[in-house]
This record gives sequence, C-alpha cells and structure tokens, in this order.
Amino acid sequence: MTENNGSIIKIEKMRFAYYNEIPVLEDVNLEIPANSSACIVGPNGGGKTTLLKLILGLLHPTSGKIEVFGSSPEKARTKIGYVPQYTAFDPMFPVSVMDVALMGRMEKHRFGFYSKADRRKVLEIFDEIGAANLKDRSFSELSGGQRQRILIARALVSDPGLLLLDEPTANIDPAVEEQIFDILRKLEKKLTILTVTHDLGFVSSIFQTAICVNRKIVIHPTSQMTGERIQEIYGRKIRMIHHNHDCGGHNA
Amino acid sequence: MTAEDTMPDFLHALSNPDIAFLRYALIAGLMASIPFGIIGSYVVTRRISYIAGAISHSVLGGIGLAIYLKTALHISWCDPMCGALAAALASALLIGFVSMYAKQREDTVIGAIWSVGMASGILFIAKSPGYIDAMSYLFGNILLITRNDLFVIGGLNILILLICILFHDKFLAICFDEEFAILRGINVKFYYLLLLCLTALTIVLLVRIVGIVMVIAFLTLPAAVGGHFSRRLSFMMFISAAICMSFTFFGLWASYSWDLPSGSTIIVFAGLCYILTAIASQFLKRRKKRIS
Repeated sequence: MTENNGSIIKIEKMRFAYYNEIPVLEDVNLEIPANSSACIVGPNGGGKTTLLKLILGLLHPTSGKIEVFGSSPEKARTKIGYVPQYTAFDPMFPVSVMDVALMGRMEKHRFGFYSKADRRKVLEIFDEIGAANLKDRSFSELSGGQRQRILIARALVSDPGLLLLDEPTANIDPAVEEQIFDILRKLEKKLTILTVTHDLGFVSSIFQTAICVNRKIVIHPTSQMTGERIQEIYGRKIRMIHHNHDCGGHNA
Repeated sequence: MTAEDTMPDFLHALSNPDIAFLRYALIAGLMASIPFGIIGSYVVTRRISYIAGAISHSVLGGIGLAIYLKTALHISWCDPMCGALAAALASALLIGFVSMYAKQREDTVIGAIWSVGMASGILFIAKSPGYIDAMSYLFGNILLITRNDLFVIGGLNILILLICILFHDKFLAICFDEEFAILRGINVKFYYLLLLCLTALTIVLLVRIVGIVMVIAFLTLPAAVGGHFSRRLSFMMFISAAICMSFTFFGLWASYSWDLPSGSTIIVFAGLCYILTAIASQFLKRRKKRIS
C-alpha cells in the first residue's frame, strides 16, 4: 500500500501558527513508517487536531515540510481515510446509512450516480465492521456509537492506505466504546492508523507508539506511559484513574 | 361561500379562455414546483436560506435596470425577466465568493446585497417613464404571467433538473459534510457556486407569481414540511415538490374564490401548513419517546 517504501508520513522541522500568532505547533519532526499505527495524545488546545488537519492538507505549515505517501498532503489526500467526530453533523439531516458510506467513493464518478461496484464495496465493509444490520436505517436515528461506526465505514470504502481518526470514542458510552476499539484492533493489522484520543487506557491496549502533542512533539512507546510521563506531557497534575478495559465491565 | 361550492367554479375558470392568465399561473406554479422541491431541499439542509433571501431581493435591482433600459433608453430586447436572471446570478456568485474567501464578513455582504439590490431597483423604476407598479414585483401578480413565460420556465426547469441529476451525489455530499468532500478530492468551491446559481435560477422562476419578498417562503416551507417525513434527501425533494404543487393549487383556488392577492394567499396557506406539521411532528416525537 505504500509507495515511498518505509514512511507514510514524514514531517520535517514543521512550524504552524494561525495568523502569525504564537505557534500552535513548533519544531515538529515526525516519521510514521508503513504499518506502524500510533495514537496522538495531549491536552486540549495542545495541537492534536491541528496536526491532523496539517496531515490532511486542510491547513498548511507556516514553515517546514509535510509529505504523505511521498507527495504533498493535497495530492495524497484521496489515499487517506478520515473519520471526523459524529457530533459535527446536523442530527436532522435526511440521509440513509448507505448514502453516508457511499460518500467515501464520491470521487470515483464525475456525473450521475454511484455504481453497483460502489454499493458492493460498502456492503463488504459493513460486514467487516459489523454494521450490516444498519444499512437500511436513517443516519439520524442511529446512536452515537453506530454513527461513529458508519463514519469509519465511509473512510474505509475508498481502500485507504492510512486511516486518520479524530477522537473516535468521544461522547460515546463505555460499553459501545469497546466495540469501536475492537474494530480498530482488527484494522490495525491491515493498515496504518493514526488516531487522536484522550483515552489513555486505549493508548496502551492497541498502539505501541504514542505521539504526545503539546506545541512540541514527543514520541513514546506506550509501554512507557507512566503517570509521571503523562504529567510531564500535560504539563500539570491530572487525576489518574487506573482502569483496564478488559476488566469485565460488561458483566455489571 | 363554502369550499365545495367554489371548487367546480375554479376548475371551470381554469379552462376559460378569457382568463388565460389563471391557467398560465397554475401551469407556471406547478412546473416550478419541481425545481423548488429539489433546490429547496438543498437550501434547507445546507442552511443557506438567508443567502437565498438576499438573492431574491437583489432580483428587484435587475428588474428595475431592465425596465429602465427598455423604457428610458429604448433597448427593446431588455426584458424584466432577463434583468432578474442576471441580477440573481450575479448576486449568487458574489455571495459565493465572499463566503468562500472572507467567511467572517459573509453576513454583512448578504445584508448589503439584500437592501442595495432592492433600493437600486426602486430608483430605476422611479426614473423609468410611465407608471410601473413595483408592488406587483414585490408581492407577485399572476396577471403578469404570459404564454412566453411558460416556455422560459419550462426551459429553466429542464436545465435545473438535468444539472441536479448529473451532480446529485456531489451536492448531497457538500450539504452533508463539506470537509469530507474536500478530502475526497472534490472541487467543493465549484459545486457550491453551482448550487447557488441553481438557487438563483429557481428563485427567478417564481418571482412573478409570489413576488420577490415571498419567493423565499416557497423555497423553504415545502422543504421544511417535507423534511418532517423524509429519511433521505431524494425523498425529501420528491415530497417537497408535491407539497409545493398542492400549495400552488390550493393557494390559487383560495385566491380566486375570495378575490385575494394570489402570492400572499399561497404563502399564508404554506405557512399554516408548516406550523401545523411542525407542531404535529413535535407531538409525535414526544409520544414516541413516552412509549419507548
């Protein structure tokens, strides 16, 4: 899936500031090799979402360089599957689950309607992530977790080489959260995943690498994510609740 | 008079050659209902009805200019409809560019186009020789509908339908999630401008019947009513078009029966339907919640 054998994302000496103010990101060097998933953690306002948008080419670095699949983010864009937060959508929008997922293949035709192949692909992905029973539903009547799952499907139907997720478990109840993790665990074996998360338990259970973003970037293996290190990243004391996601919460 | 008494009378009047304008108005309204249902659904879901409002009000500027050119400067090909079309497209493009490149000033520009468009229209009309009733453009007058208008409306109708069929998938995508459409490599700016231009064309279609001030209600109310019953955008378009047709038919009938201004009657009827369905759908939702 990779063309630039080795790294999928390569960021060199990148700096980013909105309107020439204080930089949001500074002195960023990052290399994501093929098939090495990672999560992006850090405090609110630390620049996690900004980093994601820079990789997608929705924002441009003030200085420095970003390469995705060996070219500019704009050119590489269609090889990336992007999963935004489901809360960003108009809950009343009249659209079916199938319609939403098909949008992942909208660039494949210039005029007219989606092809049979497009629909087949969507159904295939629905099967894979356990959303086949939702295909005839309306997007607006789904729960948060179900919507998030459909958005993951929408990102996957274009056969991306890289999957970017923005807080996939935000505003989702814990029981459903586990299902989203299961999907990511499964996908992680097939493609490179980069996900923003605030859930530190999630970090160590799936990914080996944590990219800690707080204006600057520090990369840690998740095995080293100790309390002190987390405090260091967040720059202040935070209350830690030790919890293990496999602690049998479903029996309750 | 009760409703049952006037209906046969109304149907009879439709076939009366002496009052052909009534028939023309009905045909124009029914034909225009199709693009109104389609474009109205995009406008409501993309939440750009205030942009549509500015476009429709700027139409008066174009109409005024065309009348002025025709009567004062004797440029005979200059028809009010041409002026309306030009003004609507120009303001659609202007608002489109402003909203893409200077987002924070969008509402100011919309307000400016809205009022300056109208003001310049009134000025042009005031300076045109002869008596021209600006009221009929503002609030609609079915007496203005001619046979030729029907051909123009028919032609625009086909154009709008064709473009919407070709690009429905893209329009749906940019209404639902513009950012994602950008990431799929779609030229979102182009499609957004195209959608605004189609909105402008649609507005021009019905300005003569319901008038500049009220055409916005025709664009949004049927779609808002239809939205309550729709789970897909394509279905919302279909049902909105049907609702739009019934508004035109019953509105015209009521205006004929009680000798009321046609545009206002249609819009008040549409407004009542909107309020009733909004209340009904709230009520149904609550009941559903209570049951579950």
